Amino acid sequence: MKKNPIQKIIEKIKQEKIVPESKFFLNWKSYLFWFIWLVTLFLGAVFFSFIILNLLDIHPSVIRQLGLGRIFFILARTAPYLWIALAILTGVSGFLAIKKTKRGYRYSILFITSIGVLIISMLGAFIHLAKINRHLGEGKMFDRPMSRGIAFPVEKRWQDPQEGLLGGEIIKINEEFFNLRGFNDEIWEVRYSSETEFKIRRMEENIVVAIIGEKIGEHIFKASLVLPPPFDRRPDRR
Amino acid sequence: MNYQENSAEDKDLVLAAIKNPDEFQAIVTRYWSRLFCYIRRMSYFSQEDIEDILQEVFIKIYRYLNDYDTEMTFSTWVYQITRNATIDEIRKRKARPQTTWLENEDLIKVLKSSLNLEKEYVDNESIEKIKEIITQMPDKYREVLILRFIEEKSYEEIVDIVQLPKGTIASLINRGKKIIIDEAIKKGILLK
Repeated sequence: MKKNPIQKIIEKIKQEKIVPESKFFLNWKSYLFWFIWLVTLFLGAVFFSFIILNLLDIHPSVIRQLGLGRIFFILARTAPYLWIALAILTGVSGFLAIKKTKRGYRYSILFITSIGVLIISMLGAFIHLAKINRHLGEGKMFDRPMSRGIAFPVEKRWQDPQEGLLGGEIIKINEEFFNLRGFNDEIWEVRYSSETEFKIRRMEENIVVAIIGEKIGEHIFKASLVLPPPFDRRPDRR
Repeated sequence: MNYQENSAEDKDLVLAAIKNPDEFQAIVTRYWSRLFCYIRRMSYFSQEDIEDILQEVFIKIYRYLNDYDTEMTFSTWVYQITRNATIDEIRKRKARPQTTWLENEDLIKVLKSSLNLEKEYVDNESIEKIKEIITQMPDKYREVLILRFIEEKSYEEIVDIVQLPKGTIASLINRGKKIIIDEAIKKGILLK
């Protein structure tokens, strides 16, 4: 006689000694996704606070001279790879964490992304207000020359003469120009005139400056604005 | 017995089944026919195939009993697992349903809900044409229409069963209904 399929199920459970699995065992993937998301949210917030610090580093004259659009373009172009990678990682892990967990499917991609951005922004602002980012920025980890890889991209931003941005140390002052050692050790002849606006206290040798202007020849730069270095990260600066 | 009593009884059955597998029989008995019909409506599988799928489904339900979250009804959770198992099986066989096992009364339910038909009587020829429309329609639309109009699930329950946001479910149902209306006009079941 053919067995009742319902009885067959109960018998199979008993014969194979199947038992209800523990909640943790069934959900470990979910927990892992949440953990990864929390970690990346925190890292995202730290680096968001660096972005705030970077934006605040920009002298108001630079904004006037370059315009906000160009500044954002330069910031995006010089953002360290780690920041970009973290932004992507935060997005992907946040999406997976919410989508792959129990009730994640109830929320739209837009909602999940907005929540992630909101948390990162709020936490990032808190980290900035608590000045944690400045302490981290002064740490050795961020002072290595591999600026595009991980560290503050401020120096990198001032190594872009094609975009009108040049920074470095004044090594010799002449009548109509001064020589400058750029951050990548290239020597530049920087020309200035009565039209050049100086925002530094006094022009002297061995000081670091940031210059906005125009590249007019091979290692020749015409300055229109000379600024104090924006990458001075002394704690008492602000 | 009303919905809340059913739900409370389910929770008691779950607690009992966790302690003793014999008590799980009550859950299997309670859901067997409903899930059997649901799989048959979603797929083209034979009775034996459906029984095999259901066996796997109930064993999975038993293994996952501790994971059942009372935020959703037990029935919804069971449908969710059954739906996933059925879709996996359809994918494994790499073929979409060639025909549906929808009964005439099921079709009339879908038809009336989609087209807001006033008349009680729908002729056999129309029924056959509607069956053809539903069989040929993309799975994603057929699935939500079956859940909404034949299984009579609420939007919230469908969200949990199909695991998609509510907006997407509403849009799938509306588009599914529109497909039926457009095709019904083309086939002459409805007049413009």
